[in-house]
Amino acid sequence: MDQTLEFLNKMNWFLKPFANLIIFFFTTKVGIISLIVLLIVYILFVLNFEIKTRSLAYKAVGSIGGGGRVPFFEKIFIAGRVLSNIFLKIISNVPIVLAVVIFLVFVVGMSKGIESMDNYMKNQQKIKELKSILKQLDQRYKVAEIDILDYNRLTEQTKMRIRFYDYAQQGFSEQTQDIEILGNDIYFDAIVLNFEYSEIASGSAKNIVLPYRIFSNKVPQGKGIALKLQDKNGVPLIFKRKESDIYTVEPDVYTERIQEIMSYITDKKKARAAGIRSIYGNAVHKTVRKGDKLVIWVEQTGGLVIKKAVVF
Amino acid sequence: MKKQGANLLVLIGIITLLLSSCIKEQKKQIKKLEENISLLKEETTPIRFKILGKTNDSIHLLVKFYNSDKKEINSFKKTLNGQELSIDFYMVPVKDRFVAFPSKIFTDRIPADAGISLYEYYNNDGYPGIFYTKDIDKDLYQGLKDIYQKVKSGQVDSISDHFGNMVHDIQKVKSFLPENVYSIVTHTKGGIEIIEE
Repeated sequence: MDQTLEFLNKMNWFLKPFANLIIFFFTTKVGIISLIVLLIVYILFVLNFEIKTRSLAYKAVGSIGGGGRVPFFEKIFIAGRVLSNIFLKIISNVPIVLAVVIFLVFVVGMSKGIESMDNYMKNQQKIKELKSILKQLDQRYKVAEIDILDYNRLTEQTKMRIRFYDYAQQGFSEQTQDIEILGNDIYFDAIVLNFEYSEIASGSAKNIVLPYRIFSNKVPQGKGIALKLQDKNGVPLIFKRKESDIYTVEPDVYTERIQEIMSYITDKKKARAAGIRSIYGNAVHKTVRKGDKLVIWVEQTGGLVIKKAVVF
Repeated sequence: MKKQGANLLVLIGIITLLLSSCIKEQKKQIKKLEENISLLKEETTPIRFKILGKTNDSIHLLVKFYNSDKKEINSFKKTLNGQELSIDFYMVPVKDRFVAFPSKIFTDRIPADAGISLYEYYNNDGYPGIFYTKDIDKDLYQGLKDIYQKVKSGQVDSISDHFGNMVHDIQKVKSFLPENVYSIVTHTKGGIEIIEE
């Protein structure tokens, strides 16, 4: 298909200027006026030639007036004859005129057809690219789920269970962390590394979120509770990611990956070079009640979002 | 021969017409995709702040509020006890996007309940001034005004899917530096970001 289109485009390289010229002369005001002017110039030229010929004839026979002057009424007669001759010529050549018109229409049609096909293919490619960008930007991924086990109105204590999404396993970890805290507006705090839109749009990077503590409306963040979820090897689940989720990291050097992320946090230049546009702490929070189930998401356009989990 | 030529012409005509209508559809689709992408990338900056000074126990800062036309509408200076500065927002879903109302400022030593409320700093006759723009739609103006009143007074039960979203510096890894200016950027999908200027 690509080869055919390439061949047609090459063909259109010389067809297009010709087609554009035809379109200019037959569809634009300036073109039509130009054609009419050309026709008038042609008629005037022929008329002038006929009158001059007639004038020479008069001179030759030494006629009335002696100077070879053609009488006014004869000039009108010559003009009428010239116009009718041109008209009759057109009529008698109708098949040729028609063939020329068909040829011109064919050239224009062919050129426009190839152009349309080329535009169609280019648009299809653009749609594919835009869909891919939209898909990358519109993506969100889960970070954690929080189950509110209890809230005591008298003591204002909230009990909750947290499960983290394990990116190496592509699912929630079986390990959980139970937390009890004063207050019922629960803040879920994390370090966020947001990449440039261009990195996300091209699919070469995803925003990274490293949850690290819980606090509340009653407990300041400095006295928040640290999240201690670790896998069986003692590796924090929050650092576990698929290789493709982290920028320029080798598959088997896990610690290097963590060090790489940490260096982005502390080294502004390195972070910029890696395409990170912002690093900061971000806590999403919600006033909770017993039985609530919350899900925390990372938005690819930046930041965290918390929502009540949908129950089927 | 003539018949074949005519057939070819008709065929070219039909193909061109079909392609033209397909291209029209494609252009509509491209426009819609581009609009969706720009909506996703849409961001606003209602707050900028500057750290005027910092000690082990306190943060001295200047906070400025801006409307949608990027004009400053209000500002204040405060000294807060703590080392990490937090700026909290109330996120409310409106149609296909989230609207962010700056709600509080507090620190790692001041709990959220004891933080400085920000609602009055951008109150413009009951309307949230940070969303003001010259060409604002009347219905949107009234809608935002109603939501602002509810959020301000804490009557948010009628609003579904709302949540709080707070951004802050992290003392151990990346702290706000004195004399630096920071922008708080809100995203239509509900995210909040701090951008160092």
